[in-house]
Amino acid sequence: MNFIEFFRLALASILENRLRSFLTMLGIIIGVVSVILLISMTTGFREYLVRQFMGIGTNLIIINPGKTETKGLGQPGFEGVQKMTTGDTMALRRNAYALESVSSITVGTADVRYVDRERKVMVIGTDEAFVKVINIGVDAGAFFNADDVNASRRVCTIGYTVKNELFGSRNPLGEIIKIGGAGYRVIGIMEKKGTFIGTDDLDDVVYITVSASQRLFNTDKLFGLRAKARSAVMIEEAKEQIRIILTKRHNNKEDFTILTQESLLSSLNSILKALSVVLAGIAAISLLVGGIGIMNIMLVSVRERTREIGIRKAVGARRADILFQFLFESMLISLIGGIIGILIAFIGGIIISQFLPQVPPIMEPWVIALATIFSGSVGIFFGVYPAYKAAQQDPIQALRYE
Amino acid sequence: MVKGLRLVMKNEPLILLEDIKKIYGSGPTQVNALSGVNLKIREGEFMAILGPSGSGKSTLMNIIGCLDRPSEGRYLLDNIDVSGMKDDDLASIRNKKIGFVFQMFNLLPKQSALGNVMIPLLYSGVDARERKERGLQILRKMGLEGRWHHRPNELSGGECQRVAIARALINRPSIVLADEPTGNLDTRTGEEIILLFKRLNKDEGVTLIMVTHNPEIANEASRRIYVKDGKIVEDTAP
Ligand SMILES: Nc1ncnc2c1ncn2[C@@H]1O[C@H](COP(=O)(O)OP(=O)(O)O)[C@@H](O)[C@H]1O
Ligand SMILES: [Mg+2]
Repeated sequence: MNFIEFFRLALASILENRLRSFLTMLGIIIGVVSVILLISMTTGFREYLVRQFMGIGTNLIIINPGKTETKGLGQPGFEGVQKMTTGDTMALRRNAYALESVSSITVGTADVRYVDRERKVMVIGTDEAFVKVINIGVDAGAFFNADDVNASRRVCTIGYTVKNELFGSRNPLGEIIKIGGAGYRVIGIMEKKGTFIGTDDLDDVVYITVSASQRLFNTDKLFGLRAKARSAVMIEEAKEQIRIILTKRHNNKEDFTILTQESLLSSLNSILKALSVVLAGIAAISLLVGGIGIMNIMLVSVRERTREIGIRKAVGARRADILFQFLFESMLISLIGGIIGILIAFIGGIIISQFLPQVPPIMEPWVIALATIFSGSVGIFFGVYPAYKAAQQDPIQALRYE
Repeated sequence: MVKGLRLVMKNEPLILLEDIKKIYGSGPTQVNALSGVNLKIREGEFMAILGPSGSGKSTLMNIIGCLDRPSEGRYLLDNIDVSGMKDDDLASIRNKKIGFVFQMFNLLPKQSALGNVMIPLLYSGVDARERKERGLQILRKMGLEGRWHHRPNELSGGECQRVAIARALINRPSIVLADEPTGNLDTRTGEEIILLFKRLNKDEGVTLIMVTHNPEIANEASRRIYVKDGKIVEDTAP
């Protein structure tokens, strides 16, 4: 007998007991659907994160005060985190030639008021380099320039949400808004950015010059620096230059952390990888349960078909003929279940992306291939024992079986 | 040359049983189903096996048909010792040399007459087209040409048994074994089946061994043996 004959035999038997075959498949179907959807959603989420992080800017380097990893002895806090200042920005601009631009950042919240409308808004203090470092453009008007920064002029640009909330359909350009009580002239409207990882509204922001913001919040500390390397290959070099220059300025202490988009992504990736391992575990368990279901039904089926086995053996079926007959059946049940599962998962993915258009599940080909191979293997693995039992039957005993 | 060879082979028995014993179980529940059977059957014989119930007729048939192995003794089939053969080798012999007809028909209920008849060919590696051709041909010969697509539950007892005989014959075996083939049939249908067997034996030279309780049927055979308590107590062979 060749494989096509076994295949036909198995298919005929499955079609003969449609309902039972389907119920047997159910475990595999559910397993495959959940596994594919979970993996596809993780993949979709990872792609979304990559898009979000890469969307901030290109060759971006983030410098924040404080060291995230603790090294050495001594009391933390006392020697303390040295603050970061605009002096650091100047030093990097002068000396770190691997950097294209460097920008200071302060972050705070303040009440922003226009005539009789007031709103609590995130206020970012920065300089003219900001729009070179961060991937953001100006919709109308202009971002403040070096002169505005140096003279700490009371000018601002506003995000989309702020514009809508305070001005509605009116043109804000040239209008004066009050930020923390002081008046600022609106000189630009930033382009719409949406949300970042679904939380912060990146358009509910007002940008003012860094000097104005330090006056507003009464501090000379910066939230951090944002820099842009000249090219992707210069990122490492740039990080090293930043490290050397800032360490020297901070009394030879490395009291800051340098991050890149890649380093942020790779730590996120490792979290997602851990998640994938958990998902793989769920996959294994659900397929195991499905496989046990198949084994169970196949054992019943072998028992029910004892006479058939006896008849087949009596007319010349060898052990292998019986073994493969049953093995093909369990494999095919599992494989069909897997394919149905893939189809359902595909439809499910389309439905989910209707509800989560920003994070659509991504079904990669290898997942489909893996699901197919896995479901087939489960059928073989859990079909071996019942098939072996069938093949072992003594023809006479089997013929006598009632 | 060929004729001479054929003659030599004719003189050798097709089936040779030497002191065959079959013991089931062990200890106090031990059953000696066969206790020392010696038997020679020549090609082309029509032999009837008679004997009371439980005397060991079916056990003997199963051993001759290579469905079972003797506990002791030697069995030469076509001059080949099959008493110690492996399961798969016995399966091949059953497939090619032996056709079995049972009292209970033993058809697969979910297969058509044709499907049932073709099964032995599946295990001799015959391709699907030839299987169907030969299956239809043998069904025609059994007078079932219009019934090939019917399942056993849509056929009468006599028709079922004819399907079973067609299945036994499809691989052109040299031996056909029938264990009470008319036991589940009414007298008239039984007679028809016996007629079929006789024609097979006479016209095609198939060696036929049949267990029966019916003396009339047994009288149709060229030879009769009587089995009692696992032994042959009478043999009409000259
Ligand atoms: N598989 C078996 N296990 C135990 N005893 C058996 C088995 N098969 C047959 N026997 C016993 O062997 C004896 C002969 O049985 P059998 O050959 O079927 O007799 P018959 O066909 O002449 O009625 C009986 O006593 C029967 O109970
Ligand atoms: Mg019997």
